[in-house]
Order: sequence, then structure tokens, then C-alpha cells
Amino acid sequence: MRLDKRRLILILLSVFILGLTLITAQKQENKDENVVADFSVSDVPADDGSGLMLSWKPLDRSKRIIEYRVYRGIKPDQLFFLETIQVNPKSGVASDVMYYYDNSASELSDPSFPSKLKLEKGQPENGILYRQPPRDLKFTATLLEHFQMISLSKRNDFYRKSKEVIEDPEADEISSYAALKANQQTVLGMLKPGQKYYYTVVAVDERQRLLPNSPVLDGTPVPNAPDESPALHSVVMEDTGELRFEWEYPIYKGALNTYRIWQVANMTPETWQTIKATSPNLEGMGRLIAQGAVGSGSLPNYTKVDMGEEIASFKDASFVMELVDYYGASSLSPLSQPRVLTSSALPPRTDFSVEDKPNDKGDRLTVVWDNPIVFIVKTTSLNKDNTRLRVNYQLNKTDNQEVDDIWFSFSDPETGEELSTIKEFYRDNSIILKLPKGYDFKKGVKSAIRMSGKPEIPQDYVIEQDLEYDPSMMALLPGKALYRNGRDVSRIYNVVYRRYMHSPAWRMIMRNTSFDNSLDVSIPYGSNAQKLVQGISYAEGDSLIMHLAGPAGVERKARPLVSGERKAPVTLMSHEVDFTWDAENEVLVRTSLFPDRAKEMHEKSIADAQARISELEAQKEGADEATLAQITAEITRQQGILKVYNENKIVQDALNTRSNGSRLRKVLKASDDYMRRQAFMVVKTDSKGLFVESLPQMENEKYIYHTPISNWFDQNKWVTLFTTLLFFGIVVAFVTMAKRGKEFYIRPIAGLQEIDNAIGRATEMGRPMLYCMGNGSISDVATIASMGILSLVAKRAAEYDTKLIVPCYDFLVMPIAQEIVREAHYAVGRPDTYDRNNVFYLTNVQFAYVAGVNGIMIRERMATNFFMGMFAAEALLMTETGNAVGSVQIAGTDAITQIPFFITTCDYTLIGEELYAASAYLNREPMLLGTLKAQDYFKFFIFSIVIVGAILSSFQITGLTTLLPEK
Amino acid sequence: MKKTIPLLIVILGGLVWVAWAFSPHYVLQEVFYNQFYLPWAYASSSFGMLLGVISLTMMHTNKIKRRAPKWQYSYFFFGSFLITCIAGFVGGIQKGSLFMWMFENVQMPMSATMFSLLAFYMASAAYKAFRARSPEATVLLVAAIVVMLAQVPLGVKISRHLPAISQWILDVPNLASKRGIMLGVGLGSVATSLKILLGIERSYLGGD
Repeated sequence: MRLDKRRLILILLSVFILGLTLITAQKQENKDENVVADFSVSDVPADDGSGLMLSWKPLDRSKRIIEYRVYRGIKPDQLFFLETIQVNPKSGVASDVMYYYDNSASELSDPSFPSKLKLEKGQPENGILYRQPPRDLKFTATLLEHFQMISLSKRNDFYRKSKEVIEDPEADEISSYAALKANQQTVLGMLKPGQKYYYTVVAVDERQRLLPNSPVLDGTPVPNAPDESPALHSVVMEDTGELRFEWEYPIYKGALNTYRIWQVANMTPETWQTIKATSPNLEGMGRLIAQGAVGSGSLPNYTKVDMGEEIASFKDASFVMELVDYYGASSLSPLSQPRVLTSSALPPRTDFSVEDKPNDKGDRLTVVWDNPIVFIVKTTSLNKDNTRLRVNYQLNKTDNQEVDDIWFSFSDPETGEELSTIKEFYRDNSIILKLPKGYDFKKGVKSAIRMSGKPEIPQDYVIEQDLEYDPSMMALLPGKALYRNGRDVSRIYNVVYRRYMHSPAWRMIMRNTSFDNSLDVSIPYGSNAQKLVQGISYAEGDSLIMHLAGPAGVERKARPLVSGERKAPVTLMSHEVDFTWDAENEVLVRTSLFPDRAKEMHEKSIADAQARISELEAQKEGADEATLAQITAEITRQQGILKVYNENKIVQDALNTRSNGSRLRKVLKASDDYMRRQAFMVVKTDSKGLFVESLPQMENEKYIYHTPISNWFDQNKWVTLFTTLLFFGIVVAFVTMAKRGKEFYIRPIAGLQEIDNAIGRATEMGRPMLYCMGNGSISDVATIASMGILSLVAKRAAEYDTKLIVPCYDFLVMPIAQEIVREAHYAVGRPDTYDRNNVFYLTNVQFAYVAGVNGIMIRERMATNFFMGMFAAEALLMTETGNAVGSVQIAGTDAITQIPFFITTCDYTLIGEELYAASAYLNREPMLLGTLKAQDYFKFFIFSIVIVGAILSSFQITGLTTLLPEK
Repeated sequence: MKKTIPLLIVILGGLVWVAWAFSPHYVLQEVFYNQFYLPWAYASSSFGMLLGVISLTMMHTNKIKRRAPKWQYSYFFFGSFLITCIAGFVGGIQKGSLFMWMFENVQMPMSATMFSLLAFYMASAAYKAFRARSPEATVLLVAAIVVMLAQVPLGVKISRHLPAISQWILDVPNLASKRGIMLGVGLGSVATSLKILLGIERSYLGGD
């Protein structure tokens, strides 16, 4: 068969179609492979109905995926970017399933978001994936039904930039809101129970390509019963007649509201597990022993009940705990059978103090419950016989506690014979322990640690640890026990609680081990305002449209726009803010951002209190004694409110302030004052029912509240200040001497002496010079020093009419360099030769700068190169090129890492401080020479201190060493 | 007056920074630094960048006008500058944009190329430094060989004491000289700062 033209075309066409089919099939296969598999959306268990859980199978490692992007929407055809989960493209994801929990606040509008709907990169016009939701509150209003929204703004912006929006200006009782525009806030959203949300996941590969998205699935969060408490611990205190309970919270505790402890019939834990599975009603089968608030797990997790004589009957009792969430759903803990103990088993009560953290801006306090604590962390053998060990220790103390010396005593655990005692006078967290020759270190060593310091540490205060041989590590390691004055405290915790002035509840801050003696508590200055979004409004034609979120859903309202009213879309929030706490009457005063509303609120509070008092007075008649007492107490409370609103100085002062700006400043200050005051309590506990609360810090039967203090001077810098002033004094003295005509000898610096020769060489050769100021900015001292040298070099260059090129790395340095060179030309009377284009900005990208400078050097065939200033890795690249071109090179830098390269490749190098001295050396100005001389004398002073410090330290006198700051 | 006012601004600004260095107070650390200085510095640095752009444009325009050597390359500057600007302004600078693509696929490889040249330059510099032409250079050569050998497994094969000797060289003579230089640099910095505060050093004002 002949292969004619037609057949050939047919064959080629067939091959082409086959190839195309194969490629398409391959692509189709690839497309399927690029979609994450097993994608599912489900409700987060044991939560309050504000979370959904996404899961999917990650793509194979060969796909080189760098991240997975999650998209969410309230419609299946419009999903917005929500979050990115970064993965390592080299190692891929080790797990078979990836999870993403959408159960926290996510951004719905932010100033950084696109202003309008924007499709995701690579999406077709009818695509479903969008970038973040648009920064358009009209659009955000459509999400109001589906999200619980919170506005997050700078506090100053919220107080000063909020405008008032009135719901209905013609209503008898004005209902108004504080309103912020989209660019003044971030709107956060939480999922709402019962609403439907759509999700998809997209993988992004190393080439930044968005692979096809997974199928869009929906999910609806629903409130669930809380997880059970992992453990309830109960203790019967025989001697005091107390029943004590302590419990643990489940991981998800955000929705927990109350606890109830029940006594149930005696049974085995297995039987209880069977009964529990049937969701029993404890009302009928148990006795309620205790109940209280949980506050989402932040309130104390312990309680005690005084049972008096009845206590004996509880020795064999069984208890369970019921945790109830805000929706009324509950869970039951495992069965607890009590330990029977006496009060001697209780840990000692903590005597704690509160210190202001020194040298800070006033946002931290330290709660201290013990002396400084030193403990051994590890040991390392330093010789073959294991008789020389490096012992690393850790010292935990507060900033106000000083430890002078630490004594480590080591003894044989079997015989008690003392092996070694080491006095640690310089604390470097390490000591060297020498064991007697032939000592079998596998039997371990017992250590006892004592210390001295300020405030005085009791002499009998001792911490002991057993160093035991660990065969796997082949080293002596500290055992788990930590003995404080003979008592093992390794399982005792110090739990720190705090309470605010306006709240009676103690809230947990942190649970600490007994290896810590204090806790730094952060009390930040208020900087952000977080407000619930109650609605969104915007103008449409002549109407103001309001979407108001209420318990029944979102209501859309419209009213005519009032002249001068804000037309831009805004979020609507409560205009009421906390103002001040009246400690005497225990009343929290609130006010409004807007002066008229503030007056209304003030008057209403007074009127309400008066009305309530009249009502209560009327109820007094015929009331029994107990009710009468209650009424009287309530009347007293209401009178307190009246007194606060009528007499409190802060309230009156704000009320009488005419300018709203000044009033709000006072409101902010007053609210900061009471919000930043906190009282503390430390609870010592074994976390199993043996707990002891510290005695409250009180004065005149009221809690002592602490506020951190902002310090004006950093006490660690006294020595720095002193030496700076001393140096200042020496400089002034030498400058004065120089002014009076005293001549100073300055050692010759070859690099500087050769500058004239190098310029002369360029002039003779008729080739230009390059002056490079390095990569420093205008704030670098090296750059400023370099400017002084540039001034001199530019003058000589102008004098000899030699071209000087100055390529600048920093755009702020450039105009100064231009000015310096211009001045130099004027100074020598050659303004005509000044060319502004010879001093120019090159780039501030390190290696692009190198490429630029090297190019200039080669093109212009530089005769002389100056490298003066701050340099990094680019230094060698430039100087080697200069060397290859045959230029004379003079360099100077204070960058230690680059000095060796300059020395190797340049003809002359100014090392470190010589760069700073150059200006004085070259100009020979008495004032500058004076500072140079002062520098030399001060260096001598420093060396003296170094030598004296070394000698004193050798004799264990560390006063001078500790006096000097470490950093 | 032309220099007195800037000098006064510098001295006053310098004193504020001295206070900032010694005081942890809220007013200086938060109100002055975080709330005033940082936003101001960010805002003003953008305008500073404009100076750089103007300077570059002037220089390259001048080059093209004067037909300076290799003037054709100046067109590349304008071309690259315009493309980068348009890519940034139109497509944004986020991940996946053209701007970022150019940064990752043009600028980064070119920078990496320049950086990798450093290895050869270092070898060349090391050759120059290690030529034993004087007793000092011989000491340098021996120290360098010891330190370099200790970094590789062969060093330990030669002698198990080599790593310890190398560490001693780095920790004692090397560190001592480094600290000596650092001390001088530190003092020089303080002295220069004092000279600026006292108005003795005025080179940053453009000339003496």
C-alpha cells in the first residue's frame, strides 16, 4: 500500500485525535486527582451551636501543595475566602485527614478587604469562589441574619468617631445607636445555631495555582449537650465536718453555665456508667449537695460544704457532678468516691503578696507566693569516670527579689555523707560538681539548695531534690519530687485568681506548679473597643434603611432621611459605655457617647431609683421581718445609686463638662482607673480536693485592689546613665581644652592619610572615583560618620575637578549626600562642576545594589573606590570587582563580619571606630579632636573597670559585676 | 537660619530619643513611639521613596539625552519600572499576583545568583589572605586551617582535639578581638551621637 498524501493526512489526523484524547483523558484524570477527597461538613460536638467542623483527605505529596484554602458562604454559588491552612510542600501532610474548625470569630468586613465583590484568581465569570467579602456594609447587612456580628475598632476611634443614628427621630422615647463606617472597624462574625452555611476547600500548589474546588457542602451548627467533666474528686474531712469537691472541666467549656453535685446511691463505677447511658433524672435518684456558677470554666473549680455531725455518713457515699450549659443541656461526670482525710493533710495556706513589675510601662503586676526557687534541671558528665559533672540549675524569682549566693550541698543518698558543697556566687545557671574518686554515681546523689538574698530569705529555707541515675540517658537526672522544707510539693499547684472591682466573681488566671514562685499578670491598657453589632444602616434615595437584629431575626426598617444625617453605610452599636465604679456605694455608672443621651441616661437613672424607693416604701407595710430586711437592704442600695448620680465627683465633673471631647476623655480615664484595678487570691491545691484559699488582702473590710504603675525611669539603667553623663563630661572637658588651643596628639591612621593620594591618582589618570556609603540608613551612626568623610572627599574631588560618583542605597540618605557634594563644590569655588546626577539613588535591594555598583565600576573604569559606612554580604562582591578593575580602594566599616573581607581586598581599611574618628582626623577641628581624645580616655576607663572586675570576681567579690547591666 | 532650625529639630528629637531609651513610661513607649512615631515614620518613608524614584528617573533621562556609554540600558530601567508599577497597582502585590510572580521568578533568582557568586569571591579572598608572606599571615593561615578542618568530619579523624582547639580559637582570641572592636564601635557611636546632640557634628545637614 502506497502512503499517498491523503492517507498520510488521515493517519496524522488519527494520531492527533488519539493524542488529544489521551491528553484530555490524562488531564481529566489529573483534574480529579487535584480535588480533595472525602470532604465533609459536620456539627462540632459538645458546643453551644456556633461551630462547624470540616474534614477532608489531603492531596498526595507529589502534588506539591503549599496550602489549603477554605471558602464559606450563605449561598452555594457565592463562597468567600475564609482561611488558609499552610502545609509543607516537601513533606506533605502526614495525617490521612485534615480538619478545620469554623467555631471562632472570623472577619466579615475589614479595611483591607476589596471594596466590591471580587472573584478569586483564575475563576470564570460564573465562578463561585470569591476573595474576602467586600468592604461594603450594604453587603454585610445581607449576612446579618446568619452571623452574630461584633465590631472591633480602636477605642479612641469608637469614642471619638462614632456618629449618632436615631431609629425614629419622631418617637417619644429616642432609641439611638453609635455608628461607625466600614473603614473605621473590623466586623467579626460568629456562626448562629440553626443557620445553613456552605463550604468548599481548594488546594493551592507550589505554582500558586488554585486547583479545582471540592464539592460544595452545607452544614448547620446546633447546640449540643456539654461534654462530661473528666473527673470529680471528693474528700471527707473527718475533723472539720466538711465535704470538699474539686473537678476538671472538659476541653470545650465555653458554654458551661452551672454545676450541680449530687449524692447518689452507693454503686460501682461500672454500674454508674450503665445508668449514666440512660440519661437519668437525678432529681429523683440523688440528693443535691452543692451547686453554683461555672462562668464558662473561668470560675473556681472547687467547693466545700459544711456537713457538721452528718459527715460520718458520707464516708462511703458516691457523688457525681452535673454540668449544665446556657441552653439547659447537661452532662454527668464519672462516679466519685471520697477520700477520708483530716485537715492535717491540707497544704499550708499561701501567704502571698502583689508587687508592681518594675521598669515597665505599667501593664504588669507580679503575684508572689514563695521565696525564690532554685532547682536542678539536668546534669552532664564531663569525664569518663563520671566524677566531674556539669549541673544545670534554674532560678525562679521576681524582679524585686535579689539572690546573692546559692549553696548547693550534695550528699550520698545511702549514707548521708556530704560529698561536696558549692557556693554559687555568680549565677550562670551552671555549676561543676566534683564527686570523690571511686564514687558510684549510679546510686545517685541527694542535693540540698539554700540561698541568701533580699528580701531576707529564711535560713531554714531549703529545697531538696534526688538526682537519680537514668539508664536510658546514662546520666544523673532530677527525680520528680521537689522537697520544700522537707515536704514534697511537686504535686501541689498554686492557682491564681483575680476579681475586678465591679464584679464579685473570682476568675482563674493560671494554674502554676510549685517550681514557680510567682506569676506575672498582664493588665493591658484599653486600646480596642469590642461592641455587639445591633444593626446596619445606609441611605437609599431619600430613605434611611435599617437592618436591625433582634431575638426574632433581622427586621428591615425604612424612614425618611433627615437633613445632615450620615448617608454612608454604618454598623449600629450600643452608644452606652462603662464610666466609673463608685467603690463606697458599689455602683457601676454607665454613660453615653453622645451628650444628650448621656444627660437622659443620668436623669433616667435618678428617676428610676426614686420610683423604686417609693415602690419599696409602699411594700414595707404589712411585710414580715425577713421581707422587711430585704426591702430595707434594697432601699439602701437604691439610695446609694441616687447618691452616686447626685454627688459622685467624677460623675458630676463629666456631667458639667461642656465639650463632648473633654467629657469623653474623662470617661475613658475613669473607666481605665477602675478596670485596671484588680484583687488577687492564690489557692494551693493538690487538684484532687485538698485545697486551701489564701486569706484575702483587705483593708477596712474591703478588698485591696492593685493597679500597675507606669515607671518614668528604668532602674536597670542607672549605671548606663551615669557612664553616659561621665562620658559627656569628659567630652565637654576636652572640647573646652581644644577650644583654648591645646593640641592633641592623634595616632596616624594610614587609611585616612592615603585619601589624598588616592584622589590624586584618580586626577592623574583622568578617571572617576566612586564613593559608596553602604546599606545603612540615615539612623545608622556609620552612615553619619561616612557623611563627614564624603564631605572631605567631595571637596578634594571638586578642587581637582575629578568626577565623583555616589550611588545611594537609601533614598533618605541620597538628598543629604547630594547636599554634601553640592556644598563641597561651592566651598572650593567650583559650583559649575557640580552635577546632581552623579549622586543618585540606585536601589535598596541588597544584591541589585551590588549589580548596579559593579556595573558602574566596570563601565566607568574607576580609579579610586571608597567604601565607608555599614556593609553586609555585598561588601566582598563590590571590593573584589574593584580589585579586578584595578582601582585603589579605601574602606571603613563598623560591621565586624565585613572587616576581614575589606582587609583582604582593599588597599587600606578603617577598622571599627577609626571610621568615626575619620571626620575629626581629616578636618583637624579642635572640637572634633576633643571628642576623639575623650573617647580614648573613656576607653582607658572601661579597660580599668574590666581589669578591676576580673580581679574582684576572682576573689568572689561580685558587687561590681552585678552593678553593670548585662545588656 | 537655614541650618539653625534643622539643628534645633535634631537636638530636640535626639533628646526625646534619649528619654525614650531610659524611660519605660507609657507616654514615651506607647503614646510617643507606637501611636505617634511609628505611623508617622511609615507614612513619611513613602514620600522619601518618591525622592529616590525622581532621582533615578532624572539620571536615566539624562543618560539617554547625552547618549552616555551604554545609554540603551536606561530604557530597560524605564520598561521594568513601568511594568512593575502597573503590575503592582493593577493586580496588587498579594501572593499569586503578577507583581509577586515577577518578584519570585525574576528578582529573587537574580539576587540568589549574585549571592552565590560570593562563594567564589570568598575563595579568592581567602587565597589572598592565607598566603604566608609574613609571620602574622602564617598565624592566620594556621588558625584558619584548624578552624576549617574542625568543621568537617575529617578534622576529628586527624585529631579528636581539633574541635576543642577550634572552639578555643573562636571563643578566646577571636572573641577578644571582636569585643575590642565592638567596644570601640560602641564608644564611637556614643561619641558621634553626643557630637550630634551638642551640634558639633553637622555633616548630615549637608556639608560642615
